[in-house]
Amino acid sequence: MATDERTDDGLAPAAQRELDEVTLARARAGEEAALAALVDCYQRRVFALVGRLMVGRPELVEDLAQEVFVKVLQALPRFDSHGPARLSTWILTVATRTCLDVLRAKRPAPEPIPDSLVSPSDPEGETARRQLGRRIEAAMARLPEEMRAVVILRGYHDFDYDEIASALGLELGTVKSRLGRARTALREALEGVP
Amino acid sequence: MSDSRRPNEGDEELSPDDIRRLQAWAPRVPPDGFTARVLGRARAQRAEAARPAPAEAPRPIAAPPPLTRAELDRRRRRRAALATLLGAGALAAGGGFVAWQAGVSAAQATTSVMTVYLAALAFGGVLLLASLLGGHGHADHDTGDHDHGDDFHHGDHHGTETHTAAHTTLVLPFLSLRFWIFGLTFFGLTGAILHGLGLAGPATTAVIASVLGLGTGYGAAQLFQSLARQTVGEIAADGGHIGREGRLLLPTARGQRGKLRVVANAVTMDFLAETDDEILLPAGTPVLIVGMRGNVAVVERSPAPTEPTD
Repeated sequence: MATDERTDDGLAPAAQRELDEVTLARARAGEEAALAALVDCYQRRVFALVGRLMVGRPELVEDLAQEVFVKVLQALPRFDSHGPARLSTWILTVATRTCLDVLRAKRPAPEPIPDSLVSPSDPEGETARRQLGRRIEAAMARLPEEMRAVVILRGYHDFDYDEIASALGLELGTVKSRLGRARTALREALEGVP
Repeated sequence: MSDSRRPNEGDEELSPDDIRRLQAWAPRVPPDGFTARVLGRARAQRAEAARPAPAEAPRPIAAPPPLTRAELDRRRRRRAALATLLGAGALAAGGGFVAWQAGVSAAQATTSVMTVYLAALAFGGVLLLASLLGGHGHADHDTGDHDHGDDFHHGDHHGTETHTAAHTTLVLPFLSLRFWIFGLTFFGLTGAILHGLGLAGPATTAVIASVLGLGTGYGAAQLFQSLARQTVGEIAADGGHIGREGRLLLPTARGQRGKLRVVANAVTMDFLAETDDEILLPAGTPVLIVGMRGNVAVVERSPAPTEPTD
């Protein structure tokens, strides 16, 4: 069964746990309690990913996260637990594709974040951390959605290049180049921040 | 980057410093009850997928679909044209008969008058029999009934519509097909009996037959309109709502009461509404009443959208 999903925000890969085999088998058989355990186990990771990919569109996050899990539960019997992909990678891939579909269709214009809210003043304090977070959010919002997806999957969800390429349907070289450009853009955006 | 991260070294790779900075962007966290909502939504989608196609879905009762304004106008024009044609034909026949009467002998006139009565009786009788044997045939669709019964859009102005319908029937009875059917039948029947049995003179017979025909036709039109009103009243019985379609005025979901508006036979009814669906049914959703819990309607999403009324 899943454990301690409360500590899992996609930033501590060592703490990321997978659903155990028995629960997964019961979930694939449609047992309600096991399905609930699956959602409980992965909801924070999905919410973190969807929330970041849908930067500037917070009103869509919960609905999309629900949609992701509905797709996952429907397709769960087809998931090969002995295949190369971890369940978390598979679920986050579903989440990424779902979000990109929406982003490509809607092309939202994220609301600009005022500079007054993103100027770090006290790097040691929580306020400064929140301001840095908003600055990163603003920088992410300016990235093209697929470039944003690459950096989020790599930076927050421990996807390796092959997994990112598979999730986004890109060539390995494209993943590398996009990650490189995203990194450069982020560094420029965060220039002066320790 | 943490030690467990699988290496993808290269110029493009995020540095540990990048990762540290990225961590400042706090993730969104799922709200309370998220798992339950996901499972409910998945369950609802499975149920929706398992539901038969709308065309095959049995409807609890055959509630007549509301007619569009264009369809109402078309039917009204058609009935008016038919009634006018009948009226004009009757007037022409009457005028021709009077003119012809002036030039024939008394014996011939007696025969001709009887022919008129019998023709009226035959014509009206055939239509009356056809309407009776045909169930809800055209005889049920006179102007008054339709104005009252099928005007979906004017449900909120029920009283006004009823008044208009009654006014139309009072002032322009010849627009009602039912008026002509009953009128001609009883005009012909009365005239044939009085004239054939010699119970009254020609003039008296004509007056009595005309008065009785007019009265019967008018009375029949009023009677059927009154019956239609009573039918509308019966709809308000509790069980009568099941199977009716309406639209939500306020959203509803399991455990959350909303409000429903149903328009049936020009009567607008608002109900409290509940649903057993897990997913929220937003305001404006076309819904089907599948049961009543006291005065609260139990609804589910309508299998097919309600036909637009305009």
